Parts: sequence; structure tokens; C-alpha cells
Amino acid sequence: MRTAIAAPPITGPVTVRFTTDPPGAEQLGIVEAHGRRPAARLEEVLAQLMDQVAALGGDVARIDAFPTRYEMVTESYTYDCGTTRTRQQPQTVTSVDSNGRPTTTTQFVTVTEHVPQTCTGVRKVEAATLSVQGRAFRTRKGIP
Amino acid sequence: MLLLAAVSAACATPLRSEHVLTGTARPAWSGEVKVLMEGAPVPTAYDEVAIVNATGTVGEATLPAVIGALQDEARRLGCNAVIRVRYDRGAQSASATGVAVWIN
Repeated sequence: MRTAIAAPPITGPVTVRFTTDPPGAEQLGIVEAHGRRPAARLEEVLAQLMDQVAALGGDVARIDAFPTRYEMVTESYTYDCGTTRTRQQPQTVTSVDSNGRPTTTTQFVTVTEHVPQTCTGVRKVEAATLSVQGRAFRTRKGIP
Repeated sequence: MLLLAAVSAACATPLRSEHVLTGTARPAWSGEVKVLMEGAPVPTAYDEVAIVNATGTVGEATLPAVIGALQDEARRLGCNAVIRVRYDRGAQSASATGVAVWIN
């Protein structure tokens, strides 16, 4: 969010400061970035914030806070809920009797087979979101 | 500018830590690493080295485990303190984030 008059975006590097404001710099706006943890790495969240600083025309990101918020969320998931089924299957057996004559008989055998099926369930899981909040500054050297 | 980022352990491990360098890392430090929580007074002279984070889940979602991992991460970067440490706890996990520094 811009809090000063518009400045052109910069393409140069954005430096990060955690503990002190850059001396003699102009504050351009307030910035914030979020990432769902642990999928989003710290590096990615910080990079998002630096992009916002650059878009405001800043060259220094001053980090004011980095809270992590935990909440229970509902998510869906899939699981294998396949079953087994048994059935009778004809089977032809050819044998040779004592006189050397082939005899063919058909018999039924029990066959068990897997019936695949995918089910969907819902569950509550804890989700962590890391936020990085700060301010965009433009130092004298950042002014074109 | 982001110089380096590292994830010290895989996502599945109950205790993991990471950092993003914003200054210059020093040789690993084997001494004490001070922890100054958010809001505590900070020393007057120090060098910012990195933002560090540690997260613990399941049995490692405790203050000592998470802060210990944060100190270890800082120690590997050659820092002797972590300042502005913010600790947040959920039902199943906990995390701490701070600024790894070298206090002169």
C-alpha cells in the first residue's frame, strides 16, 4: 500500500533491513507477503515482499514483523476404498485316461479379484501461514 | 538482496530450520548464542546476517526445541545472537523467527 507520492518502479536490487530504518530514506509504503508453511520457503515469502518494495519504487525493505498464524482448516483428500469380489469362473481341464484318450472336463473355480475405487474424505488439519510485514523505503542513491 | 537460502532438513522432519542471508555469513560459531525476544532491548552495535526460522512439529513443537534449532541455525552462520525473536504456537506445531546477528 502506497503512503507517499508515486515513484517509478526500480529494477535494481532491494536490500533488507530488520532492525533499523535506512537513514535519510523516504518511506514509500507498507508491504506484506504471506506463504503457507511449510510449502512456502522463507526465501520465497521474502522475495514476494521485495518485489512489492521494488514495485513501489523502493530499494530498501524494512521488515517490521514476521508472525506465523496457525489455524485449523478443512481439506479434502482421496484414498483407496477398493473392495474384493469373488466369483465362479469356468476352467477347462484336459486329462488323459489310462487308455491314452484325452478327456476334457469343465469345472468352476472361485476367483477373488480387486475392484478399484477411489473415495474422497474431509479432515481438519492445522495450517501455518507466515506473514512478513514491513515498509518500502527509497534511499537517496535509489533516486534515478 | 537475497544472497543465499537454505533448508536444513526435509519437510517431513519434526524439527527443521532455514535462513535467508541478508548480510555476510561468518565462520561457524561454537560459543553461546543469545536469544532476545521481540520487544526486548537490542544491543547498540551488531551486524545483521540473516533472517532465521525454525519450526517444530509433533513432539518437537516445544519452546526449547524450536529455540534450540533457531540457535543452531544462527551458530552455523557464525552468529552469536538472534534478536527480535517471535515465537508462535499452534495445536500441533510451533515456530520461531528472528534476526541472526553478530554482536560486536
